[in-house]
Amino acid sequence: MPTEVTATTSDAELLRLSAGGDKGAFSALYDRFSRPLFSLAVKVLSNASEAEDVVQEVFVELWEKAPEFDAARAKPFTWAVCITRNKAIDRVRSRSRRGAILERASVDIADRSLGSASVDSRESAWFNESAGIIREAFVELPEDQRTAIELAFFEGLSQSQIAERLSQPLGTVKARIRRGLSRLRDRLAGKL
Amino acid sequence: MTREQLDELAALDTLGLLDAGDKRALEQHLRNHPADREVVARFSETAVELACAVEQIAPPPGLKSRVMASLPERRQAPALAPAADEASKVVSFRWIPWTLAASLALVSGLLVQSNLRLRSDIVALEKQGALDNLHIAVLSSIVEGSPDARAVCVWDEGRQIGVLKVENLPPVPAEKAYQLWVVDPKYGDPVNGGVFNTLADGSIKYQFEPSLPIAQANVFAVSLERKEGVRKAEGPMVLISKGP
Repeated sequence: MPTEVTATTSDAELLRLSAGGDKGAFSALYDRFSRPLFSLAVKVLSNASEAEDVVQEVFVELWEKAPEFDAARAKPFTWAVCITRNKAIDRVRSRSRRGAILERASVDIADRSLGSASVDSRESAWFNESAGIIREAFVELPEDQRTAIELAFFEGLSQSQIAERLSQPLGTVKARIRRGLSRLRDRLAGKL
Repeated sequence: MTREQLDELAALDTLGLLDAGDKRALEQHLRNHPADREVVARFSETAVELACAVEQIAPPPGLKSRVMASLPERRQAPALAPAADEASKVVSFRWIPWTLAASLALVSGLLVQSNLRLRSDIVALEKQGALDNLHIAVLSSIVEGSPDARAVCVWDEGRQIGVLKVENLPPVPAEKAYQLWVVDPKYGDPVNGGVFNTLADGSIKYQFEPSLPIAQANVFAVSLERKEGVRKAEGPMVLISKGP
């Protein structure tokens, strides 16, 4: 019998229930994760249709691998983000049309976003607030640090590719990423 | 390795930017300095938060139904926690936070001593600050048939995970399982800590994450239940710790 899922049921519990075959719990997990994961996929891919495919693949993988999930290793959301980013970046790397990758989200994305998925209002409010704090902290990073992190995280470029893109020595790129992430970590500490 | 070097390797690793040589260097360092895994973990969490920094876009409404329709059926519904023979593999200390693993190792060795002695040793360790942020509980048998059964539980409130090490508790048949409970005064009923079984020698190391957030773990208890576990304890209690 499906377990009752409430707003206070933890992500880890939802995943554990999903591992036991509870699709109601997995549905709730979808409601919590789908928006940020889709947004991340769109950001990386600059293409809403491909982002849909990626998100679908991600959730199927989450479902299939839920029994193997180790809560001591990572939080469920962290795990989901890593899968999403890896899948999206794999797609980016497999494309031949590199120029198209760099285009930002287009009009069709805005149209699609009008049809909002069902997200619990409390979760949504909490997420929006957290997202705002993170965005603010990220935007406040020095531009050179922010750019280096963006190229690595959202575009999946290697150190040498970032160095080439920014016309900077490799050591400078490494230092920018270290400083940027350290600053972001310190600014977010205790705020989320 | 200086702190700055560690930060750099951790930051680059988090973004998947380390080459093979640097990756090996980082892993070697972490093997020798397990406390520094926290540094890597914090960078990793920070990087994941970047995913929330992007403009939030709702997925199309039809995506959820496509996702749900594409989920393969489970071949069999697994129990709430791995069976005993699997559990011993799953509870790999590689992924247990080092403080938890170290503390469990520290107190596990004391299981051979009397519970009374064990409790006094734990109190001493707590006074020394060796177990900061960790809650240690000794569970004693309340079953006549297994008077020597005992367990020690190390609970990390910050991480909301714990490890239970059990000894001399006979394994139960396949249709049964032991179920761990955490008593938190915040809740009316004990909180489910998952089910496990012991190995042939009566021992098991079981890593658990309670089903609800625990604010105050006053008592840990183990009951005998159905193999899939129950929402509220129904079966006999076999191990229990002393209250605060």
